[in-house]
Amino acid sequence: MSSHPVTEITGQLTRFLFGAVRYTQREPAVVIAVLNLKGGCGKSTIAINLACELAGASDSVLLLDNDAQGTASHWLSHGRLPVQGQFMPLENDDDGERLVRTVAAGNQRYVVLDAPAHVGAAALAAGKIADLVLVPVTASGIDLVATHAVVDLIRKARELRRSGAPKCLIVPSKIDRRTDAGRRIDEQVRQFGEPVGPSVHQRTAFIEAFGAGQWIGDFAPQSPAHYDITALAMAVKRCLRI
Amino acid sequence: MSAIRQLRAREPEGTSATDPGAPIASASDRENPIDLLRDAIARLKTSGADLPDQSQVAILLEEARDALERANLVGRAIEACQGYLRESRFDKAFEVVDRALVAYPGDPSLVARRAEVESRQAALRVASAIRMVLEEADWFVAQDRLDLAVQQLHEAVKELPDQLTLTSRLEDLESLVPAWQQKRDVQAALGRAAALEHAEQWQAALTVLEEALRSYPDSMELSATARSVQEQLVESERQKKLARRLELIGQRIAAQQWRQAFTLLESARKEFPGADGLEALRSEVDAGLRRSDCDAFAAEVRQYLADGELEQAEQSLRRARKTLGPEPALDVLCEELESEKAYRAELRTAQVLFGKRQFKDAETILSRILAQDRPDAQALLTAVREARAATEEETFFDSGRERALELIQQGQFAQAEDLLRNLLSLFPGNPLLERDMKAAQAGLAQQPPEPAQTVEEPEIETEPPEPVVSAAAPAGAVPHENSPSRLRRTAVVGTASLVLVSAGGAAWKLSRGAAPASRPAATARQQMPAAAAPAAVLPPASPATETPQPSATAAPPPAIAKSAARESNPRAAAAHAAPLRQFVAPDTTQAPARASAIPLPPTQPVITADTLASLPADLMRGKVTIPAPDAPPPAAPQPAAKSAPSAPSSGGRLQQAQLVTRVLPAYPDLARRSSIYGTIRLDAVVDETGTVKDVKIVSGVPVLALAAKDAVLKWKYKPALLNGKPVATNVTIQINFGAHQ
Repeated sequence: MSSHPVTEITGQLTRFLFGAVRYTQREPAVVIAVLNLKGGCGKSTIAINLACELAGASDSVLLLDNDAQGTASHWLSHGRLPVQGQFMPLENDDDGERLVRTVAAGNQRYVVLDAPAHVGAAALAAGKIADLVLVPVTASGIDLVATHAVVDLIRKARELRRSGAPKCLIVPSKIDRRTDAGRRIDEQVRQFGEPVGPSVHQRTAFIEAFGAGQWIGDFAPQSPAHYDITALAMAVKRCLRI
Repeated sequence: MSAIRQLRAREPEGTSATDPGAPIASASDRENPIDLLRDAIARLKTSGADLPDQSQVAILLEEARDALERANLVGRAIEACQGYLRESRFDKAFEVVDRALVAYPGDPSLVARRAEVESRQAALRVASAIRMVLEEADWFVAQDRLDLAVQQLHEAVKELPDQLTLTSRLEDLESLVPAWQQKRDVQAALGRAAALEHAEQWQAALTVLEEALRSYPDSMELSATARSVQEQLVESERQKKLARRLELIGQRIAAQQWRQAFTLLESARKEFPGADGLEALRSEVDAGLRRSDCDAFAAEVRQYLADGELEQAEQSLRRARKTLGPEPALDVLCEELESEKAYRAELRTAQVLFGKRQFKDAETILSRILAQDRPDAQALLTAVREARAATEEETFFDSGRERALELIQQGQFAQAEDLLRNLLSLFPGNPLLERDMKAAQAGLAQQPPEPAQTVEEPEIETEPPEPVVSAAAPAGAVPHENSPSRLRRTAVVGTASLVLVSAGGAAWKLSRGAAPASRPAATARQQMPAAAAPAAVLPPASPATETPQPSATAAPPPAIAKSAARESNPRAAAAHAAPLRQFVAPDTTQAPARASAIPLPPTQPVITADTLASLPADLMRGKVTIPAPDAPPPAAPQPAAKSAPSAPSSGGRLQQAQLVTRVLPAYPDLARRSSIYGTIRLDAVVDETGTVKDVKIVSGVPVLALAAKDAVLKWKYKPALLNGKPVATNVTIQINFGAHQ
């Protein structure tokens, strides 16, 4: 049966639209923010390596570097990481909107936000859209104080959103068990009343991996440092599931 | 006496002077005889009395003077009157005569003169009246009001009966009246008819015209107009009827009663061929009819789709296509059907993958089809995700623990402790981990603190074999003696792994949950090997490993830990873990490689030939989909790959053959024509050069299988590598010929 050209075109158009509709609807990405108001607590390290670890399990991951320092972007710039990244420093609320749009427009399974170390648009945006906030905490006393502020911020966001999100996971970071502080960290982080994830230890492998522009899973696979990250990824997934 | 005679003699002169005109002339001629008389009279009077009859004379003289005066005055009056008459100034004439009459009433000449004036005035009046009447009549005629002119003249004739001019004019005009009346009536009728026509009152216009025609049957104009009005009347009736029909059809259309609308329309079209409104409606009704048919079909198809009866839906759709021809709505429906089919196929694929524990692929497929808001897909996706997460956790648990044990063996207790601590944060309270932790801490305590923590070595592939440890690590030796509860747990784990197609983490959780239930240790111990054996394809040697053996190593804690790990690892204990591990870590073969150092051949993960790496995602979407072929163990093309412990025991690292070039099979014409489609499975050998050989058809329709075989023979692989050396491998290839090529 020969079909009329107009019908043919209409049909094609319909098929096209149908297909478009069919494949544009999808699951929203899971947004994981790495946030602490204290600098130097290993946010970028954790964000990068966690993103890569998640990507290594063949889930698509987008890493958004919201830190104007651009540590993560620099790391990414070598092109040796298995994740897509985007440098998106946030300075005002418009930037926050942009972030939300970027997250909504992507088709990734996970979006990892590397937030800067101050209260600002990025922290607020993270509070608004994150499903999970990772709070890296080093064993230093200053860090613990700053962490209180972050936990408060997260709790406020949770109240506003009324959905239980964002969840929070405290990640002891740069831990060296040979020191007293390192040994005491577990008790100390428990005081925040939020779940505590596996520790990311103070390891030279992380620093060397950064120097090589690689993530730890590529730089030193199956190394203890890699296991730190894998454990963290496990904890993150578990946290998101519950 | 002589004087009187004189006077009398003169008297006739005086009286004779009464002749009009004459007295004045004579008077003037004689220097006014009246004055002379007056003088005479005065002289007489003065001379008086000597004459006897003087007074008499005076009287006579006065009389004479009066007569003279009278004649004079009357004459003048008449003269003036005559002058006025000539000028037709009747009022003046009357005035003059009347004044004279006042002086001399009844003067006959004056009376006669007055009568003359009167008659002259009357005649003039009549004449002007006639003139006016005629003028008016003419004006009426000029105004085309003959009737009024005639009426006017009639009245004038009545008033002035014997005026010839009037009567003749009247007669003239009356002779014109009938023709004029007809013309007038016709004009009036036409005018009214035109007005009614303008108001589209055709019937009324026609009535008017017919009445006029009855009076003037021979008026061409009237009959022509009447004909045209008649035509217009008919036409207007027709239009009205059509409008009513259109309205009726419109109502049916509005009520979506397409069948009725169609019937009405057809009859209307027969009656009013070529009417514009009808043609426009026709397309609408056709479209509506089509749409309603389409809707009916769509409802049917959707019902079938909802019931999941795709075959019937397809049949119904085919029927609809046959009935309705090309139709976008059907295309949409077809698309829906296709998508439903694709969805079902993908869901089935995902279920198969789930069954095969290929969670990641299943998840990819499911998250793709989840867009359609399907609860079953959602449920399956949740299940898959849980299973996948559990698998991942289990894998992590295993590999992390293995790594920790390695670190303990290598004496890196601090590192091991860190790792174990992280593991414990994920699996809190896990006794195995706790025991390992204790071992690590014990080691740490024994060992003097390391001066500097060396950077961990990434190249664990080059791990040195530890024959001593391996030899001294029989499975489950210590647990038997020391910890019945632990043994029970392992037993339950074994059972669980049999029952559940579930990951180790879940199994472990289950085992934890089952632990409080006080199951007798003995039965558990008996169950364990029995349950594990069929699942794990354990060789008969397996029970023997339970016999306690003295540990020959200098470092017992690691050995114990390791053996316990081996034994209680549900994944390693179950055969289905083989594809699983291969899936989870397809390119990191460290685990098997490392495991090969431990003498537990039965529990080695075996790469099976029948695991299909992936089923096509777009199974039914009109593509030939070729899954990545799977690589069997390196032990050459022997089908009994499952029972080939030789491969892992050789301690080699296997890198699977990788497809480099693929050629799409041609879809045979015969198959296309007969709508044959389906899945072809082929077994083939990829030799050391990567060439495909010995293609054997496992299943599938021959006509397709031959095409598939031809194509596969052209494929090129990167050969499988065993310890870096290319080896021949078996591959299973599955090719789908989609239904809609």
